[in-house]
Amino acid sequence: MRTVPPPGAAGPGPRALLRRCLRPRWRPLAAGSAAALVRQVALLSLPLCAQRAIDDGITRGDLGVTAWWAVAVVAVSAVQWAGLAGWQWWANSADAEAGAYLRTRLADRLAVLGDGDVPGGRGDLALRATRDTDLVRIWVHGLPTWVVIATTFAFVLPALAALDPLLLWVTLACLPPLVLVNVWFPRRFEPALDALSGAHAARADAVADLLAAASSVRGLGGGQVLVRRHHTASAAVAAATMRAARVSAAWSAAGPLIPRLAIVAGVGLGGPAVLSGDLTVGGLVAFTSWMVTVTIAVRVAVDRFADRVLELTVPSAAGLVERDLKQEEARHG
Amino acid sequence: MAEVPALTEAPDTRGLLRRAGPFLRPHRRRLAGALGLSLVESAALVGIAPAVGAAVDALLARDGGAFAAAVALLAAMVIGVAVIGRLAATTLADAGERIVRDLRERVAERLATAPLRFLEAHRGGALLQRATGEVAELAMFVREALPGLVSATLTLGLTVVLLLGYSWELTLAVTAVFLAPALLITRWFARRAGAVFGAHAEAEAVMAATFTETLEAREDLRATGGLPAWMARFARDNAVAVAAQRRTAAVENRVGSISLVEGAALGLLLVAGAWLAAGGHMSVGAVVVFVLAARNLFEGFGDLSQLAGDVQTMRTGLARLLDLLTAAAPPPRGDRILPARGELAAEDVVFRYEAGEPALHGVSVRCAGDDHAGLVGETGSGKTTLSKLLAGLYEPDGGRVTFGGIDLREVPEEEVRARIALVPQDVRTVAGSVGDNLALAPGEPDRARMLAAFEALGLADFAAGLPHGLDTPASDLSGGERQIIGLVRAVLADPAVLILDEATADVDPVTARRMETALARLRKDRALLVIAHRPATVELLPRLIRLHAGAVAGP
Ligand SMILES: Nc1ncnc2c1ncn2[C@@H]1O[C@H](COP(=O)(O)OP(=O)(O)O)[C@@H](O)[C@H]1O
Ligand SMILES: [Mg+2]
Repeated sequence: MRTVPPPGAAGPGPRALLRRCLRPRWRPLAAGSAAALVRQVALLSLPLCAQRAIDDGITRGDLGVTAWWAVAVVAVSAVQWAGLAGWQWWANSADAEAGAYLRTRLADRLAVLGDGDVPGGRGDLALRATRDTDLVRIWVHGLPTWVVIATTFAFVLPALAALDPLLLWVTLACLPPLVLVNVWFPRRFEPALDALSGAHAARADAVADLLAAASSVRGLGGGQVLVRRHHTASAAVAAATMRAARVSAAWSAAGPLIPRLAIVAGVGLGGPAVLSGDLTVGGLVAFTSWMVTVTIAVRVAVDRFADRVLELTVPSAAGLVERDLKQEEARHG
Repeated sequence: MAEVPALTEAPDTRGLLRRAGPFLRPHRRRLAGALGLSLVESAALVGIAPAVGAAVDALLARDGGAFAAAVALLAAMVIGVAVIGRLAATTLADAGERIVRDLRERVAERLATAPLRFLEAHRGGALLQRATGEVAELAMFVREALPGLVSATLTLGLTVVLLLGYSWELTLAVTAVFLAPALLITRWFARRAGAVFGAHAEAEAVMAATFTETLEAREDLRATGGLPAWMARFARDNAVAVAAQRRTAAVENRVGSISLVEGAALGLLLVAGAWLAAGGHMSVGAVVVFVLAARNLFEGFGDLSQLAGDVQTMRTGLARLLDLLTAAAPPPRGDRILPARGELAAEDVVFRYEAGEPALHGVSVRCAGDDHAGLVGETGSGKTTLSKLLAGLYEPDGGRVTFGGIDLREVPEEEVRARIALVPQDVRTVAGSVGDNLALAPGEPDRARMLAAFEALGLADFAAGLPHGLDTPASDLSGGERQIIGLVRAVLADPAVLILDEATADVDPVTARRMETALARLRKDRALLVIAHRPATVELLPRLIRLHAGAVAGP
């Protein structure tokens, strides 16, 4: 995946560090990505098996065929589970090893350098080293997720086209609103959350005042005034909570509404195709299941694209690690 | 010994609903409304699968009219879920937030009236954490987890009811095949999760600490040649952290095995459905309903097991808040009224901080309505303790404190505060300006009255000399300046009895003298009791009471 160095980050330094960090871990990363691919293909194949069981077995009253597809469902579920387990295991391994590598590298280099005052103090350097290392680790951990997103679209879109182009159009039509929902609501939710934590902080100050006054100037009265001030802050918390809750309620309602509307459209428009024999009942059922998976894939993709914070901080975090080293070297080198 | 109720670290969460009852009851209508809306939402959500099933049956029967009706019903369900779901979530969050608001406001009121001994026994942030962190967590639960929790529970229940309506045999088979193993797996995960995730967090913390130590000790390590051994330890800690994270992945994979159970349940459903459909006991559409609704079942279970942790956190938080409300409750007091003026008296007062030697044993002092007296004695003789008892902030373990002949315990707290004021040595200010702090005095005085109070204390120049006058931030004040603010507050309160406990000790001697002279004049016909060390302060007082080792040592 391409990473964009933010303005001001050291040139090739951070990317080189990221490469050095990733290269020895290509095995767990490749294994994790392969497992993620297997898992997603299996997950997406499940509706296909159910479709065949309904169309070739249940609709025709053929128990043997149904049983065969039911066994397939169980087998595919097992593959799905194994893939998921491998994905988790290797993603965690890669992330943990990347963390160990970065920490060791930092400690090795810092240990042989002289003792000077690190800008912002040693505590700050240690904190940054931990936090920036963690950012790189989260990024490494999430790399196989891209395989999952890509697999979903690469699998579902052709499969839908094969079922009935109409279903493909319905799915494609619901992608823009899905993206929109996942971009629009976080933008509204974040300021609401910020306002809410501000309100909580203001109320916490009011409580702290109440405690300070209660234990030191109790004898001077004034408690009731402070209680009133607290209640004003508390009312502000209630208002901010409800603003955030309203955004959150609208988000949770709008998110699943789009794929469900697509299901209504798919069933409504696909029905005549079933009557004319171009589409099967099982096909319709498979379509409804895939719609759910596509919705999740879009949400995760938008999270990772729209929330560019992580994308941008990864190289800059690596850059900070490099910069800390460079500054130390400059002072003592 | 004065019984100080202590906070419990992990209070009992049994009977929580009953104990929280008084906070839920005022909002029961709103809660019931929200639950009703959630029920409608879940019904519509659960209705999606049968609507699809009806469409399938209509298609297989080649009935265009029934198909159109089924699609219309489906559309109505889908839109209904969104509209009602949004309304239900908002209403539920609203009801929950009202309850949490009542709780946090009650907590604030409790802290304002909690016995001073209780507050003093819980210094160091424990109270603040309970009154803020716990409340914020509860509010977050109400906002984020509660709507999901309610709708997942209702959806799960209604799905089972719906499926029972189609075929109780198949429903039983599917729930048996799914639910029992899924529950076992969840428990299998939970059994190890706490330890493994805790160990991982611990290993990461050790690593961070080792890193910091490396930075701190590197010069020494290099000088003593200890670096290789140190780096070997670093590598060992690192390996421990990597292994700990791998263990979390393994434990997390236990949860993943639920998908295997889901596959088995789906397989069983298909075979049993085919058998029932072939026998004419079920339509193909009904089997489709089962296939679709099984997803609700699986997802509902997943949601609930994820929310189970949130529910546990919420219960603990709520129990800790209720514990605070109980522990901080002021002791019962009477509702007698104090006269406007009267004699303040301690009669044979005994007070203990801890078991053992009392800080005061049998102290009797009197202070008539216009008496000016000094309370002196060496450090630790019990002056501050006595002043708090006289101000009604502590309750005596023996004897009694009276005003106008009435025991202070028989009088509401506000009544005592209105008659007796105590200015402590360490005056703390609250956030805001000097004016905001003075506004805490009874009657919320305006600026003119505040300036007049400075004037009356001979401190007009002090008020004028503040960088931004009354708008100067209180946090900029020195200890002595805060004492002046405390005294001005006392003048604004104009109580019948004013007790000063080393209240001018941090003020420069010249200003202190000026204030003390002004105070003596100002309170000519009111009682004034002054605890002081400074000879210049003591010599102004017509009468002295001497304390020694917790007893009156004579005038
Ligand atoms: N919060 C407390 N907890 C336990 N013991 C205390 C506390 N405050 C004061 N004491 C003890 O009570 C005695 C009297 O203290 P105090 O009233 O502050 O004396 P003074 O004000 O005359 O210096 C001392 O022995 C002191 O150690
Ligand atoms: Mg004292």
